[in-house]
Amino acid sequence: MHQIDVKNAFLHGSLEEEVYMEIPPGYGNVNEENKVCRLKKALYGLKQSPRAWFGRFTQAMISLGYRQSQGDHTLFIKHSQNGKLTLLLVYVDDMIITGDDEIEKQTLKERLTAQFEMKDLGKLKYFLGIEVAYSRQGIFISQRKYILNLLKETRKLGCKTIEVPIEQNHRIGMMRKIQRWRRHNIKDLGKTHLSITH
Amino acid sequence: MHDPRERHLQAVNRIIQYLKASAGKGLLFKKGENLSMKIYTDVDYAESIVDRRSTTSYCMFLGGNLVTWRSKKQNVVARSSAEAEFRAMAQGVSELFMDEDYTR
Repeated sequence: MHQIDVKNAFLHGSLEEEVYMEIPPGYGNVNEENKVCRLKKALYGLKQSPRAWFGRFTQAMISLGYRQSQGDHTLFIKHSQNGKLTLLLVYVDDMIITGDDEIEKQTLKERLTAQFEMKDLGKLKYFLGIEVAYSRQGIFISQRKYILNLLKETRKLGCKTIEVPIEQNHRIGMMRKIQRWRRHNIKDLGKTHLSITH
Repeated sequence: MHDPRERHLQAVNRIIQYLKASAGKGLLFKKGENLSMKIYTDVDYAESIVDRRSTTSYCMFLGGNLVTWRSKKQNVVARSSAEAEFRAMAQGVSELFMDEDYTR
């Protein structure tokens, strides 16, 4: 399993619409005050950028002979002639490549690097908050680092520990629903009472 | 979140305490297992005392390795435990079709 990321991913996307921006400070001449620039490619900060990048990347993967999974659109699959399999999973600009076809994995990396500026992060160690460890037995994944960061951020590093994540017979949200139900029915009672007396 | 209260914060703090205790836990994907797929499904029938909906749960194993799992309240009221069980099975099996792609 290998991990790579794309540098300046959002600059690779191409735009479908006309998008204009003000001339950045330092570029405009005094006599060009009323001019704006039309963008030829996507920039960071545009709402189109993430989609433009993903569209561009999907195109690249399809042209390399990969099929987009219908269960998860961020997964790309290639079955080689010899029955071997190569998988690529992308999360914005982070990717994992895995499979049993060593040659195809290498070719894929090279071809992607030719199209986008990529950084090879080597063996997969940390992805989306999940730590990956390798041993003779297999692969172990955990969210230890992610949890420690969460404890740090919430300043709960020193808190006591507990074995069950929720107290027994908890009633979150229930009390209010019951109160509303009671109020509602008491109102209705009032109405029936009125209709009886009149 | 809509209308957060002290009770909700208490629940979150409890989860944080649980996470601290279980931080080192994880999943081991063992080498050399076969690729036979197994899905176990179960249901907690009409468990919600607020609206009587049931809860689906399922987990999927590839060889001996746990790959995906879920526990979710169903979005309709099942009128029998058989109906609730069937809904859980259907949800579990649809997960199978999602992963079928690359295990072929």
